[in-house]
Order: sequence, then C-alpha cells, then structure tokens
Amino acid sequence: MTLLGLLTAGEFLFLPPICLAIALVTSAAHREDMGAILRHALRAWLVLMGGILLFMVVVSYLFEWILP
Amino acid sequence: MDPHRLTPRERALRILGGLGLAAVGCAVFAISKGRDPDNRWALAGIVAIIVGLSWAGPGFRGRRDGPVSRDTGARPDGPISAELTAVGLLAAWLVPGLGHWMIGRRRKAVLLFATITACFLAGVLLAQGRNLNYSRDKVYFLAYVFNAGETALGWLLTRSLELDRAIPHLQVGFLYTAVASLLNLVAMMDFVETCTRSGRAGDPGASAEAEGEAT
Repeated sequence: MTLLGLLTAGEFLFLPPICLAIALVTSAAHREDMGAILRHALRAWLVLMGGILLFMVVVSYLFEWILP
Repeated sequence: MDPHRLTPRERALRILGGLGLAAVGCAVFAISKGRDPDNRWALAGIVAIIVGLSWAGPGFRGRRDGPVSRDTGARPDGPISAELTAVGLLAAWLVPGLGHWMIGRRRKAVLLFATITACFLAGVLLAQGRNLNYSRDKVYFLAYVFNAGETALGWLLTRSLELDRAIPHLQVGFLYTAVASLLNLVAMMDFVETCTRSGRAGDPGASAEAEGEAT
C-alpha cells in the first residue's frame, strides 16, 4: 500500500480527533492556565500526528522494500 | 548547575539509541505484520518504538526531567480537605470534570467535560450504540469503569440494541469510548494531585483563575 493510500484509508481519518482529545486532557494535567494548556495541547497534537505519520512512512517503505 | 540538564554526550546517546530502537521496532512491526497479519510480535515492535521514542525525547529536549511545566505565577488556594477530595473524586468518576468544578477549576472542568464527553459520544455514535454491552465486550469494560456515569447512562439507553448487522466502524467506536474512559482516569488523577498540591505550602494553585471568575 502506498503512503497516499494509507493516508486516505478510512481508518486514518479517525486518528486526528482522538489524538486531539488525548493531547487536550493530558496537557490539562499539572496546568491551570488555559492558554498554556491549549498551547501545549496543540504542540502535543502536532507531535502525535507527526509521529504517527512518520511511523506510517517508515512502515510503508519497509513493506515496499524489505518484504518480497 | 542545573542537575536536569544533559551533557552533549548523553544527548547524542539518547537520540541515537532511542531512534535506533524505534527503527528496530518499525522493522519488527513491518516484518511480523508482513508475514502474518495476526502476528502478535508486532506488539513487541510497537513497545520498542514507544520505549525508543521516550528514551530519545529527553535527548531532543536536552533535559532529563519531564516536559510538564507547572504554573508558578498563581498564589496558593487554601488547603482542600480530605472529605472534599473524596467527594470530588466520586463526582469526577461519575461526571468528567465535576471534581475540578467543585474545587473552583471551572474552565478546566469545562474543557475536561467537553473533551471526554465528545470522545465518548463519538465512540457510541460510530458503534451505533452497540459498544456498551458488558456481556459482549467484557475487556472494554475494564476501561469503561473509569467513566461510570456516562457508561451507565449509555448502557441504560442502548441496552436493548443487538449486534444484528455488520457495523463498519465498530472497532473504532470501541477505541474512542475506551480512550475517553481512560482519559477520565487521567482527569481524576489530576484532580487528586491538585487537591494534594493545594494542601502544601507554596502551591501553584489556580487561585488566579478562581479570582478571575469571581470578579
């Protein structure tokens, strides 16, 4: 499966919202200032999505190149 | 000297070692899944990726302490009693964010309630109400118990529904609902930590927020 195929697969579209929920709630822990919570949540969401995308890129290339 | 700051050598070791372990994890995942889609060794790959990235993270930050920053500008609240902590914990278990509401962290309470409830509701909608049946989904109920109020209400409203047809996003629905319930556990732990912190001297509590709402 190509990377474009992975990104447009139906299951992937469910990841950004759940990652946003995880980022918001975990960023709220230990913080009281709403601005700080939202800033950290945005950064955590971007890191999460970036990590997932990176993981998908690496795994899709491994599927393409390493495996017969 | 800051005891949490990493030396350049430690940073390089963490970054290279962590990314290397994550790369090995990716390879294990891809190879095991490529040979057999049901291969459980893929889980070992995912664990290696998580451990590798958590090892590399402090290397990128240059510090070995956590990325969590505590607010230090707000003045401390008065101590929160053990009774209020217990009642608030029960309330937070039943309704996400209600514990924070009770101790004056109202904006945070609204944020937690909106986020967790939206995630929970999205899961129920995706599964078309078929994901809250204990006899059908015992494992998922281990997560659901941390969000008792919404789970009980959802179960009451959807208990008559049967799994009588294929539901395209049933598993995603399970995932959303379980994650929402586990996020409520995080919110409950934060509530208890906030109550504990408020009882100590020099607590960076939320009095500024509470004062802002009072005015």
